[in-house]
Amino acid sequence: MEKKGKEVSRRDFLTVTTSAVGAVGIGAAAIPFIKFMSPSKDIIRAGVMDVDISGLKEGEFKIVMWRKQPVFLLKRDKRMIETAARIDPSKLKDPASPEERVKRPDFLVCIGICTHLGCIPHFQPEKIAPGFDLPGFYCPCHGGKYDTLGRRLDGPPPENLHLVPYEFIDGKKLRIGTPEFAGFTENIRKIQDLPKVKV
Amino acid sequence: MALREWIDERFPLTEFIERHITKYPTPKNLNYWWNFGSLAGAFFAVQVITGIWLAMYYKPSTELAFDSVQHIMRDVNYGWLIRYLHAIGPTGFFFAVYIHMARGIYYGSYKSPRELIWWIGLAIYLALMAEAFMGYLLPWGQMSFWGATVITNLFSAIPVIGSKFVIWLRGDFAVGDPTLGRFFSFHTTFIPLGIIGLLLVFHLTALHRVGSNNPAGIDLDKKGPAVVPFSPYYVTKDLWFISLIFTVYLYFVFFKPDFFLEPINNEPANPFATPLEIVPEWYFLPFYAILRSIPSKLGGVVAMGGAIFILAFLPYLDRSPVRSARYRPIKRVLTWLFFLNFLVLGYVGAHPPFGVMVLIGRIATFYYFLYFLLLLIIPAFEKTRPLPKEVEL
Amino acid sequence: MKKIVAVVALTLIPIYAMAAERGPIPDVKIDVSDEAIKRGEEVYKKACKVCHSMKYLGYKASIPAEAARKSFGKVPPDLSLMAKARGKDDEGAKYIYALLTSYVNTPEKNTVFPNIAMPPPLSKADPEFEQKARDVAAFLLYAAEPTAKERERLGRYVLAYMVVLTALLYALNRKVWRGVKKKG
Repeated sequence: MEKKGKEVSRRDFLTVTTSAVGAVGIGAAAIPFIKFMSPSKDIIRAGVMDVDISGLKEGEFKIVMWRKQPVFLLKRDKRMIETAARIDPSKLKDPASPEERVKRPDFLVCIGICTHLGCIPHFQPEKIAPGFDLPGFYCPCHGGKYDTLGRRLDGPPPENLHLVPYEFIDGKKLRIGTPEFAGFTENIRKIQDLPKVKV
Repeated sequence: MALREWIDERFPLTEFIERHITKYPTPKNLNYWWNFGSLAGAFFAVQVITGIWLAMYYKPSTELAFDSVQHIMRDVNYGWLIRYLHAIGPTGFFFAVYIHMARGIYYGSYKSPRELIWWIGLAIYLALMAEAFMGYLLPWGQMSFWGATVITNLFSAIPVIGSKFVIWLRGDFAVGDPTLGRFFSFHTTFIPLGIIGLLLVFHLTALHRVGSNNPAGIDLDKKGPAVVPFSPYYVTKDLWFISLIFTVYLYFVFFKPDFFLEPINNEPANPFATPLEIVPEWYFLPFYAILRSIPSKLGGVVAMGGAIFILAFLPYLDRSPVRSARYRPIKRVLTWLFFLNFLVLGYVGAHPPFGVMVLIGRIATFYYFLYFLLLLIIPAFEKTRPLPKEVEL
Repeated sequence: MKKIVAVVALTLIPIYAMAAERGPIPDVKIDVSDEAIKRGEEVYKKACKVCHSMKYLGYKASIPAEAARKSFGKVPPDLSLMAKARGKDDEGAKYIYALLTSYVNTPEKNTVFPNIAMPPPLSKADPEFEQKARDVAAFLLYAAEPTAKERERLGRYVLAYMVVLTALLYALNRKVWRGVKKKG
């Protein structure tokens, strides 16, 4: 009788061990199938993009597509810099100083997706909207208003336009993104919080 | 358990599990040749899962197919793994299926009352060949293209409508984009799930109605001492054997993936240049050898088709009341010869049809068909050995 | 246990029979170290890239396909998968090495690939001639399957795991069957 009891416990031990090892194996086997569905290496590589900015004139605005997301490039002229500097950051809903929004005062790089519901705001070189007598961005969907630093001034958007990592290369080229940086969903709104771009 | 009861009032879950898994009575004397059915099932599962995943990135168009496979191999995370699993899986699948069928032939598993199990199994085998053939076109390499060209051309041997039928089958005047599209559609949906998956359910349903045959080939009392419940006895036996064969399978996937793949298929399909040698995958070689052994287009196609369809007549050709070849000295020898002969056909199929290969191929083709005739004749004079009263482990 | 061995052995016979038949391969060791692959890539850029693209690595041929067709009678093939298209494992790389080193001054031009359209890409006068042929073969082998090293690395863990799992399942199965009566 005692021998039989031992026999049973030995089988139980073996059953438990084998089941555990088997379960670990099934779990591990699932990993490649899960990773298979996350962005492939070519998509990751495409996260670093070079743009030629040598032709951009004072006050000129351009949208480039990066990771299927619109990125605003704005060569800021004197008026843009001055009007934005007049705004008191502490009065903003999402406070940020010009130094926190751009690496170079004369150049804005940000993700052109309205933080309200994801539309692309329009660039308004004269005035954003009636009553907002300065240049900036206006979202036609629900009236979101941003200055030339992408800071939210008015309307339903909860926060400033999101930023993307970038670096100037010898003044002519702009390198946007890193392999890991996802873009809008990273929700980074201060230059200092951005990851470094490899040059 | 309350949940179990709730479900059982509405759906026969417990009944189903007990009847088909935990309490399903299985002969206790099954040897390892009985392990290959569940092994084939495991390979089928691997093919279905990896296939679903590959279809996420594969693009069924002649412009993009080859590139999309390279994209999977190079850029998709673990794409190389999923693709190699799927490309080498059929080798394991057919390996299991052939031995499973050979076991059925040797132990007379096709005999009454298991004729229907045998026929459903043959239908699965046919569907499997179509599945493998269509899948082979998808990478759109040189061998994909020319293999599909040659095999679809087989149908041109059909009298009168043959050449029109081939054009219909391809959807073009040569293998092209429409062919690739329909092969992809059939390969990924209808054949694996609509035909093979469904027939697999029928195969098992029919099996569970009559119960497994066994090496002794005698009828067993399903409540007697000759049977054991499927769980845990055959759960562990099947699992450990699947694990063993999968170790070999994974060795090839990780260390020798080229072994079962054709190098020339790494060149994109080129309708202007036929490769020097067109060799089908190894699992088609025996039938390919039969096709080439008959020096007539129609004759070859008929012989090849006949070689498969003749298996369906086994329950009627072999009239001996004894199932297992263990107790049939003549069938036993003839059957081993038949298996050996099948390997010889495979060997011949892998070589160019010149000189002595042609002769060997013809002799082997002759014996392939002779075997069935002999099965019909031998019961008249074969002295069978006495059948045991009980089974032994 | 004997029976299991017999089952496995019998079923593996066809596999070994197939393994036995392979054409003659030149007896050369292809060094696939990262350095060799890097050197080989430079050789490719200098000696091959003029005519041959490698599209899956992003290399375009320097001269247009049509110009090459006019000069050699055919468009030089893309080399991305060449090492795998000419043989299994590293046989394709050995073939490429053999082809590059088998140019002769006879009408057939090349003993491995008679009447080849390609003029000798490497000069025999180069003291590093053989080294370069080996390196470029190694590079082409790498290029044909850049994930090969990752595959083998992962494979070691997977196989070790499978051996353990199989042993455990085997022991469990023996344990389960121990109590079953021999006859009945």
